[in-house]
Amino acid sequence: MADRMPGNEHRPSKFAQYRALLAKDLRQEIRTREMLTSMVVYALLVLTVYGAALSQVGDRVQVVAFAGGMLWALIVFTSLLGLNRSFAHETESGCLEGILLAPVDRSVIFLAKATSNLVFLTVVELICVPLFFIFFLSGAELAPTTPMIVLPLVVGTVGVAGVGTLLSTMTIDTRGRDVLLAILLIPVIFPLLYACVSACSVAFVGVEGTFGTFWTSLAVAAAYDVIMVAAAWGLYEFVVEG
Amino acid sequence: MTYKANQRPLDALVPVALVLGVALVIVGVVWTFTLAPLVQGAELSEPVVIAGQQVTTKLLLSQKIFYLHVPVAVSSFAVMAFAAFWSIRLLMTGDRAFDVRAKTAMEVTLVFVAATMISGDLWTCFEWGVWWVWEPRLTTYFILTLLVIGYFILRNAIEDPERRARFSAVFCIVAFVDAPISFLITRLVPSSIHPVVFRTDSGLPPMMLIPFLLGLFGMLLMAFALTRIALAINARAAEVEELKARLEEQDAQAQRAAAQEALDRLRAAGVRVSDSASSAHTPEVVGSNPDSERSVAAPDSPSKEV
Amino acid sequence: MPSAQEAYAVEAHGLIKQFGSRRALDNLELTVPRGAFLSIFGPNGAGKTTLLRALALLSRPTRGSLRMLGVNALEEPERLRPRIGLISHRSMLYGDLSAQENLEFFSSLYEGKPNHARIDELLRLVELDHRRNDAVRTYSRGMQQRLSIARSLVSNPDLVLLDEPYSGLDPHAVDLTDELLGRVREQNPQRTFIMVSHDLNKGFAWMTHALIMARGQAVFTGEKAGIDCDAFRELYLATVGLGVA
Repeated sequence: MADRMPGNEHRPSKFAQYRALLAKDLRQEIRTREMLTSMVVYALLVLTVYGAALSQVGDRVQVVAFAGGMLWALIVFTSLLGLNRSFAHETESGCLEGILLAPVDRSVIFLAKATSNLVFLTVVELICVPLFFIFFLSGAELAPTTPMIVLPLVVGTVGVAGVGTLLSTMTIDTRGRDVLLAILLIPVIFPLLYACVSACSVAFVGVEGTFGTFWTSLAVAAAYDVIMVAAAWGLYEFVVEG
Repeated sequence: MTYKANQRPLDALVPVALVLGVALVIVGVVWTFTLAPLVQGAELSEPVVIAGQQVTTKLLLSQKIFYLHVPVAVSSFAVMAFAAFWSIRLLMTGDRAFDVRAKTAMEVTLVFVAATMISGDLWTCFEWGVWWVWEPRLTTYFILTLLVIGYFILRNAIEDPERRARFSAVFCIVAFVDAPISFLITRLVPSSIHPVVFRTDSGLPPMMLIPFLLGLFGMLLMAFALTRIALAINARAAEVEELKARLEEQDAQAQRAAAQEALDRLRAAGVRVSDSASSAHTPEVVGSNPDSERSVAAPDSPSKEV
Repeated sequence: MPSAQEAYAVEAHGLIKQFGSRRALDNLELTVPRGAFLSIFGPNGAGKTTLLRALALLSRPTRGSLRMLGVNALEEPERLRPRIGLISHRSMLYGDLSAQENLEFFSSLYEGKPNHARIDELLRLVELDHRRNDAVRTYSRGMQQRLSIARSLVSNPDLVLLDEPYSGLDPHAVDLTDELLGRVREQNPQRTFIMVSHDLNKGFAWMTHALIMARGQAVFTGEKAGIDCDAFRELYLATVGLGVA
């Protein structure tokens, strides 16, 4: 016989559901390493292309001047790949539907997915950014302010994960979803990209007196994060309903 | 906001608005090049070299862009605001009429934005001798163009009209929020290589203010008229579609009537099915049975019941 | 115990679902008493799956009223969700997680934390106890379907919806699924089942109530007790033929 009364009104806390969703994504990724492996390999390939592209640049100092831009190009392309795959498991055997059957707030699903994407992007960056330094900046005289690139990296990754989660949910069931995600995501994150490249470049070059620009860029990037992630969060329920 | 929502009386104003708008823009442009002073307003942050040319005072003429570009910027953004407004209405009500409106407004936005981008690029070409500069205004327009194009690609990629309406509405809102941020960021975070060309913070002398206002007002009128015209065209297209559908429906009427009749007969037969299980049956329903179902054996006793 | 207004598992009136210009559900009327087993028959495109998705609260009807288990499903869907389970031909399971982990995950969506007693009970019920730690990817289709049944029961629902539960199963797996459904039915006589199936024999064997649909409308509704077997079959075949024509 049933171990609870019909019409049980017990509602689980949103945080517990968020934790369950996130733990599921992480556990699955730890087991298969599908997304991380493909992202890291892809990032390596982009670095290889960079190697060819910069093979005629003799002077490492010149590389420092646009290292910020190259780093962000790497991150954007790698993120696109990862975001496209982030829903593969959910659609494979209708699992997203299984989640939607449960009394889970749509915004909780968004937050959990955005968080897991953020975690994966961060892991990939932890591998690729050092590689980028080894490949292209070893031997170059780095400015003492270089470690400050961590700040724009964090702020930028949060924005990419947030906006990317909304847009990749929209594109999972469309024709030519891989290209479509790129078409939608790149213009939408352009402001963030612009600000983060600017902040990273300032940190790389490290010229005295340019740090006003660094903080301005960081502030606008953070403002972008707040506005766009809030918009994505609010709009998410409209992209998961059947 | 509501003046576009109520339909009929405004349509009479459309030709007037269009003519007046064009006239005002022309007057504004002529004024710009004849009477408006060249000095002030525009100043370079520093002398720079663009495409091998030392550029300082020569740039001042390019300040004239301001008279045309700001009005177009404001207008295209105003039209896009309506697209976003209708998108929100769509998400709130689920009424697909708003989808048609939002789509229409986006089409007008695309025209405005693309036109501005091309004209702006021509300016860069003439003034600075380079084909493209990542200058705040041009960049914003470029991104805006990509966003609007992305909107239409998204629409094309989704088959189900209901989902298409919802998803494109979501993207329209995201794009509308994104566009001003990209303008803000490209302005606030100056690229180290390019000069800040426009300074419009100080009060404008009347000779500059008047043509600007003329241009702005004219452009807004044009945007209004174009949007109304596009809405009317799309509404008519929808009407044609509906008429076509109705014609097809009339064609299909006979077929449907037959189907309905068959349904009714089936229902009647259904009543008899539950009438009495024992009485002999001669169901008058006939239908071609699919092969796969032919093989179905009569169900045996309901032994599975528990 | 169900209160008086909970006598019905489903009360749908004038249900309409519009897809563009096409009506998948056209003024559908349906009442299902609690504890019933309703089988839905009909040709492809009759609106069976649309109806089931509306009952699973996965899509909202365009018009009409829908009360389920005494709750207004259009106004308070969140209250109803834990009380409705869905088994479909798609397993809704994560292939890389084990049976145990899958059930733990879905259980914590409903209750905040995994209900281990319930999960153990379900794993025993579907006889996957011995393989609970293996990745679902390694299961046969039949085992996946049994686990999927367990998944649909984690919240101990009062209404279980089955969308073509037999599709893609080999005869042996069909028998096992049958036997399992029998046990699930026995557990709780108040539990209501609604099944969409192409298999007339299966649907007929299980049902206490029948619904035959065509073009989004009900062609026939009735209780099994008053149904003449052969006539019913005739009607079913005629309706299916209508859909094909």
